[in-house]
Amino acid sequence: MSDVEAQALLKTVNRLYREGDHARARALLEVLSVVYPDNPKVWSALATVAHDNDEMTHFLAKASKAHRSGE
Amino acid sequence: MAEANEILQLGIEAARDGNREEARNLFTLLTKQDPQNIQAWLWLAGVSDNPKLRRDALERAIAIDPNNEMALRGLRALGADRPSIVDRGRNAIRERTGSLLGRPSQPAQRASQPAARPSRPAPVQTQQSTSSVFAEDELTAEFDAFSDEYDDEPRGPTPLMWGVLGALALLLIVFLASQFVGSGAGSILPGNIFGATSADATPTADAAMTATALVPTTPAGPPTATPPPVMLLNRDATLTIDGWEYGLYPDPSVINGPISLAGVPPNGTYLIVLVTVANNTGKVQPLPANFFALLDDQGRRYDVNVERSMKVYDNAPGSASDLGISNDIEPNSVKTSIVLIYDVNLDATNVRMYGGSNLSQGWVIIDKVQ
Repeated sequence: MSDVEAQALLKTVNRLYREGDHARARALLEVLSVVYPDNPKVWSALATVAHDNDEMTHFLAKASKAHRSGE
Repeated sequence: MAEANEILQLGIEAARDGNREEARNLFTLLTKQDPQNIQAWLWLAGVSDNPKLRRDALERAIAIDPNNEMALRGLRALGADRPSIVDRGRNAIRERTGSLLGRPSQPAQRASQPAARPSRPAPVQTQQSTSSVFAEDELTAEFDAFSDEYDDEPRGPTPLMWGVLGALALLLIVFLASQFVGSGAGSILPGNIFGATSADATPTADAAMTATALVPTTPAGPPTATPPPVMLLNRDATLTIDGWEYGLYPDPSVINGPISLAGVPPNGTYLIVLVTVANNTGKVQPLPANFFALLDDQGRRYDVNVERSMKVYDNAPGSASDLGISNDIEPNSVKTSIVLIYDVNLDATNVRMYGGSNLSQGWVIIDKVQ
């Protein structure tokens, strides 16, 4: 699966979130993070559905690390 | 895995809604995450428009479960140029009486019902997958439709297609002729197309209107003074003002979401923006708090929420960003990332970020908050 398809799935996540289906948005993001651990956008998106500050910080750190490793 | 079931269900719903591309992406993701998920392979085959991809997915399903009737059916629909696979599957099916897909044979049932097959196959229950979501009738319909679409019957243009092709050919001939004989827009005007050559064509009223539309118009009056356009920059562009070099952090630079920070919900939504700055001012100092500002198309200005920004930074210094907005920055010209939190109205559109006092150049942060 290419990054283009991952990007398309992030749009699906966004749609689910807008429709209030937060649980499935997060479920999809969690699988995306397993398949694409180096994709900073996935971690960034996970940060937006974080349950608390600690989790959000963790995801942001992952996003930052993923980005830096891709540089 | 709960997530796998959720995604399988999402994919099925997308397929039901006719959104095959989204369904394909979801099933592909699932096969990446769990290559032994036979339902994901079957569904991926079901929503693939490309015969080769469909065949590949079905063969992956067969590799997981050589007796899977759905996969065998799909391969048959494709013409099954790998008879060994299909024959193996057929033999396996003949040996069974329950035709429970993917289930082990049950000798007792075979003895009592040697030729019986249910009118409708039972839902797939594979040994390899724990997913319980499977709309087999729909998948069967997908395979049947694909079979119809890709059958071996020779196909030729229908009478309607012949008509369309003929009309297109006629248009092409007239157009080419007009390029030799006529000139300008008049040569392809509607009045020329049917019957008349461009040499004897007289522009009709419609034609005249069309021709006019092809000519760039010029303003009737003197040019009026308009504000200079705001230059929107690429995300990797940097600017310098008052000794500060600044720009957006490379992707991800913006996170949009209704996150409650430290238990404090936003008035609208929090936008988390990562920026980079380099201090060339010659002295150690923090970035001025309101150096960066957001503007939206509604004319509102948003200043950084210093307290929340520092809170995010302090939670994990050096992880979310190199420094917090209130931290001193060394004058070493090194680009340093800083996390900024803004509370933006939900109806904000075309949110742009500007730095310093330079409001003529900025970056689009987000097109639409919601």
